[in-house]
Amino acid sequence: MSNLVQIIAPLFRIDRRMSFWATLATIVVGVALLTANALKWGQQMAQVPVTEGVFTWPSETPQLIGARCVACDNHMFPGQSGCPRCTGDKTEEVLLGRRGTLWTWTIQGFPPKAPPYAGDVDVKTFQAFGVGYVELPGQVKVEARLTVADPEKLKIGMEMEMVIIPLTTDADGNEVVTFAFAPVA
Amino acid sequence: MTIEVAIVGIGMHEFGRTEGVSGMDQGVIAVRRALADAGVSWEDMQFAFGGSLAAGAADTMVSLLGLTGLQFINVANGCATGGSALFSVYNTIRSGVFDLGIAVGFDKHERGAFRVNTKGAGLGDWYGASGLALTTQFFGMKINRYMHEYGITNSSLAKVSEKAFRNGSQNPMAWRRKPISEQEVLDSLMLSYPLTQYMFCSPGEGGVALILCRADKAHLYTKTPIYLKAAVVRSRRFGSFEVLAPSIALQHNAGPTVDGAKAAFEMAGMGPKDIDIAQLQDTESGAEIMHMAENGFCEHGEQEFMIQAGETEIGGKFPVNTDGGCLANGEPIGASGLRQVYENVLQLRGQAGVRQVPNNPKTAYTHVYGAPGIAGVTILQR
Ligand SMILES: [Zn+2]
Repeated sequence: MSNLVQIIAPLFRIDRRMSFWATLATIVVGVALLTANALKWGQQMAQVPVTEGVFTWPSETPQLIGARCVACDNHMFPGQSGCPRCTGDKTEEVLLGRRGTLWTWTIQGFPPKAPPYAGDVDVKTFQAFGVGYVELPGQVKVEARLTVADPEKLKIGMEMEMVIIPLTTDADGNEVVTFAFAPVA
Repeated sequence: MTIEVAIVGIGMHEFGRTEGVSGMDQGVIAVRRALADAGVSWEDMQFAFGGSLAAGAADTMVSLLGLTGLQFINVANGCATGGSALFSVYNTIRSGVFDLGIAVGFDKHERGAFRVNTKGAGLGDWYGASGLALTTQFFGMKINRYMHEYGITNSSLAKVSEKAFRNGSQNPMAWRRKPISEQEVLDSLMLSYPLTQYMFCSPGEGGVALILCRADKAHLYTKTPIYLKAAVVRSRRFGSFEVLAPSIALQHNAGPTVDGAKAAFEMAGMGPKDIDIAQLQDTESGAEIMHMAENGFCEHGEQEFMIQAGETEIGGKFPVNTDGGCLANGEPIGASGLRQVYENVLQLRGQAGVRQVPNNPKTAYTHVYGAPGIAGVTILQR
């Protein structure tokens, strides 16, 4: 955003000798440029992950980053250094599967408190969102947002696939994204 | 010879919202009421365990109660804070170190759902930022799966709330004292499917204090000692489904409530059939239903019949949450577990007034559950 301000700012440094019409023209051109730039900026808005190290990003096929116990093969998400199953202290990073089945779900019907929530908390515009646990075969059940928030369209046992969804826009105008699961079409 | 432990004094500050009275002061008032109930003074207290989540360090209350030099230990154990204080007093007396002591819990929380401190809970910032760190979601997801597996209906969820508010309406210490019908419960705002607004308890305020002593000295303080036959606190094991968990293992474990109940029954030399009344953690109405089975009082799925038949009502076969539970009292974390014991003492003494369970109950059970997967159980006997 700061680049944009640098480009536009000189246009508004209006010279005292300028006529009224010249001033007006300068302002009109300035506003037009600003609008055009803002639109262009919007198209190019960078996507940044809500955090590093939780899912692979950028990626065509994003995956959750977990850990696997070297001793007992227990899978954990997010990654951690110790194993709660066998008390082992050696784990290694593992990319989790992108598909699984819905183990249980709910729908977040009210805006969470912010902080910690980074998304929309305005009661007038807040959109309910699904939350569930998806069972990744042979690995672990992961908790995630769901792209569906309709009780009629969510069924325990349905096939789900990992996707990336927008969460909010940060102070630099970047789109902050997080992971979610969507029903497999 | 094992030292037995008795509860000889109980005190409570009204639950709900008390403007202008700090959480700590509510704890102090509860202590003074417990002292009066036992007919003792603060100077008689040899030791104390106390805690709150959001209302300050319990041991600082000595500056209000009197600087007598007693051993005062603060307890911080999430939702099991009160239960852990009681557990510590119980075991201190059993060990023979002291004869007479007090457990106190109090709290005062901001309005609305609990704001989770993800860092304090060992979770990344992304978890809360993404909209996942809500305890309400866990309860919605746990009961949704449970209903799917065991055929519990929405009507039973609502009936649990209806009972809680009816019992609360008969309890002068309760926060919510207006009866709410099953239909009103079902029609209230859907907060976390399938749970509606009136199926959830709210964070609140309140304080409870319990005075305990060696059972062989109980006659010095009361004509109606209530014996603490078991006090147990358990944390989760691998594979259990708990609140605030970014993932759950594929392998299934029943959770800390099942472990805690088993250990408590063993300690008391009793079984679930021997229990006359129970106060079970009802953070939301589904929790009460699931906890009935997890504590061993019925098979999974049997609750549907029991609730529809009114068996858990005050006049029913197995009364549950006779004081209105968390649903009608709210949940001041530090005091909540002690509130359940307070109610059981009243019921066993026969002092519960209009909500007295008939036929002189002899045994009573309490159960708290909370983040990050902790359960506390007590068994009382008259
Ligand atoms: Zn392991």
